[in-house]
Amino acid sequence: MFIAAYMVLVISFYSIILLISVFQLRKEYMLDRNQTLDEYMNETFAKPVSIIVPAYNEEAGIVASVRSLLSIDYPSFEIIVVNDGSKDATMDKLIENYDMREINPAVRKMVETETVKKIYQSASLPHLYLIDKENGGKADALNAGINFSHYPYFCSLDGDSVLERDAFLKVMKPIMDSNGEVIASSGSIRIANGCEIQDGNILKVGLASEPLVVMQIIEYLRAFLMGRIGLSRHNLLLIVSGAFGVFSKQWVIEAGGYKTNTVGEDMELVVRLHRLIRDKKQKKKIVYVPDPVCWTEVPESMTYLRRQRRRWHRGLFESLWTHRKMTFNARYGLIGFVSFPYFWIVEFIGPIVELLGYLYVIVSLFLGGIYLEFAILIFLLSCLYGSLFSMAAVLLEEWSLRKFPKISDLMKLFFYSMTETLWYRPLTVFWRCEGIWQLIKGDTSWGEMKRKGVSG
Amino acid sequence: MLKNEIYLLGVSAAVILGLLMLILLYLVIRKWMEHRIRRKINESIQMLSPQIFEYISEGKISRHLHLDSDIKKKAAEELLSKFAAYLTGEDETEKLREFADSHLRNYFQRQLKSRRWSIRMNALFHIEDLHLTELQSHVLETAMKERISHDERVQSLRILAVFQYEGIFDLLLSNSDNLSDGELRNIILRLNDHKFCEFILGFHQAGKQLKYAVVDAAGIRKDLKYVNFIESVYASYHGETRLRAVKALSSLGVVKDLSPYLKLRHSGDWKERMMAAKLFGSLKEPELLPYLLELLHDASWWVRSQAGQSIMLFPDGREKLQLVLETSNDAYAKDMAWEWMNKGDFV
Repeated sequence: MFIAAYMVLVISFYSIILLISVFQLRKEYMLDRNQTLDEYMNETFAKPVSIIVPAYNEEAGIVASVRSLLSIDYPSFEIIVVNDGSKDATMDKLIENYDMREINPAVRKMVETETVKKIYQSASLPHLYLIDKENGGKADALNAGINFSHYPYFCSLDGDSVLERDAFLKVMKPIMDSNGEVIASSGSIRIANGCEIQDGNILKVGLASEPLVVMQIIEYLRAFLMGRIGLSRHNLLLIVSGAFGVFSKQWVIEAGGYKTNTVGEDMELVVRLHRLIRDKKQKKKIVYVPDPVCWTEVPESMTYLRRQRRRWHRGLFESLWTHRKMTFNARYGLIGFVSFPYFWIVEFIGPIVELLGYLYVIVSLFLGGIYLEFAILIFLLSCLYGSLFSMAAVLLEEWSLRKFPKISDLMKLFFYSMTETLWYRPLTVFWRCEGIWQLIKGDTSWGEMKRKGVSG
Repeated sequence: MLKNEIYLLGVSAAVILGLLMLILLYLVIRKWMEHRIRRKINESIQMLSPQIFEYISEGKISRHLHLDSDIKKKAAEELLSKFAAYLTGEDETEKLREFADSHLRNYFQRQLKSRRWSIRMNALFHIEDLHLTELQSHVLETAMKERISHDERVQSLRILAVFQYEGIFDLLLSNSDNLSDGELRNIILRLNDHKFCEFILGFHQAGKQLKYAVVDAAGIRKDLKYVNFIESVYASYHGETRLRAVKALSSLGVVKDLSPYLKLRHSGDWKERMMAAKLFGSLKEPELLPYLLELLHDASWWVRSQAGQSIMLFPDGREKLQLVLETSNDAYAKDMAWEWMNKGDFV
């Protein structure tokens, strides 16, 4: 009954995390969140931020993305678009639309990157820059942006995502409040598919009609509102999503910047930062705050979703493996004893165990009798239990951000979450197992698909 | 034995299913109620808006104006906050405050005692917005509580500062252990000159964070009467406090005597050299320009960058940088000169 024991372990872990999140969000229920921000907008001492947007073949959306960034509410920031050797007209579009002129600045090379060819500055908007460099992947583009950036904090942002106007103030708040104790802070990622977007602003939040997207919405709610709040509270966060996170430049440089030869550069960096914090015996924190929201597009087709999941799983393994010494290492405290085991056992091994579970159900179909009843019940139970967590996440959403205006949205989320175990879960489990298989084969596609091919 | 387990599993499945249904029911009813209440509040706002506006602008109180339900009170609260944000006239603000005091004082007082953190926080926000000085004693009570969340403490101290509360200095001395310098600065900036001077007089008693905040605030106030104070801080303190003093002086752009600051440019700490460059730039004394050109050749990027920016502030700065570009052997200094000459007029 290995599977049952495993289930109990996983379920109890989730339940604990859920409890922590429930208490946290219940406390903040109906808080007038905008009120707390007025302060920071007038803050003479607001920390300036460099926003780094890596772009690879994004001619379709880059101009709109930059336009939406230009209109954010934040006292001082600069935008650095890094063209990572695009083969399309990304460069030309930017140069043409924003009147970019070549400049020749003194750049401190703090992290090694591929050759930077040219740097441009907009003549009409002097805080908009464009770096043109040889292709080297997303991590390398971010590193080039870090080298060039002028400010002590930087934010990594995907080219195809849309920020709410006050998201920056909200995500910087913990950093400004904490006397520099918080060295990285990230917000929620929500799914833009199904929402009305115009000129880089969210007009109306809606629920997409594609089942695949709705399932991902539930998944994201669960991951962010349940998982990350719980982990963040005890400084156990190992993932700051690459799509929207602010980091202290000094710490990232000290850690050596983004690692270029991995597919999970965002997680790897956070793990390395945690390691650095503990090695230097400092009391620094990496936090997640739920209310700054970044809307991003997710795959709508099986093909891309499958690739994404396989890649994520490999990235997860690479980060864990590179830093495997931290597992159960007393030196790294709770990170070593809670986060690492959690990611190894629940996140990495999980799909294999679940796959075994599905196989067990199928086998018992042939054995029949008592085994069949037993299997069906276990299956039913896991179905319901999964839905319970999903609904709990929806509940947390309703207590905190309340982005879905309609009752019908809630009903829809409910019924989709009931079906998760029937089709979506097995699919993702299978894809993640494929990711493990690719690892075992030492697949040549190591570096394949570094950039997501969602809306490019 | 297996039968038993199946029974157990069956029961748990039923329980979970029940739970799920409960959650769904709760979510739907909640959403429905929320919509209903929102609609009612909006209706009340429609109704109250002209009446409250009339009172604020003309002082006439309508006979129909009864805030007899929580929904109406909530509506009034939202309306008043909105008015408070864009009313500027003293008379009107006073009327608004009066109105809020007579109609909503008990409402907020009750909220301050709520068991829920977010309700207490919201009440504090509104007390600040509507300037309800009558509730000062209650806010003070909150600020002095032993067991209280960090946010509540910060917000209540901030309100007391806005109200120019008599004992604010002592309160901050004794009751602000975990506050960051930024939070303290935000509180102190709300004080009038008179109260602020208490902080200057008692400067030596303050803890590190409070010291930083006071020096920063003195710089932000941009009032020449604080120059003496900041210079004395510079003369008698070290490290970060001294650095903050230089920063404050460069925000004021004045010093009595240059000589104590000249040695900063040779400091072993790049932050002090950078601050020296910043100060020299804001003082704009022609005799300082050669020092800045020296700092443009500094080993630290931050110092060079600040020196470049400061040089540009001088009337003949651009020509000086041009000269560096043409004559210097230092590639880094030339780069920096070029960068600042070609920067748009921002930062």
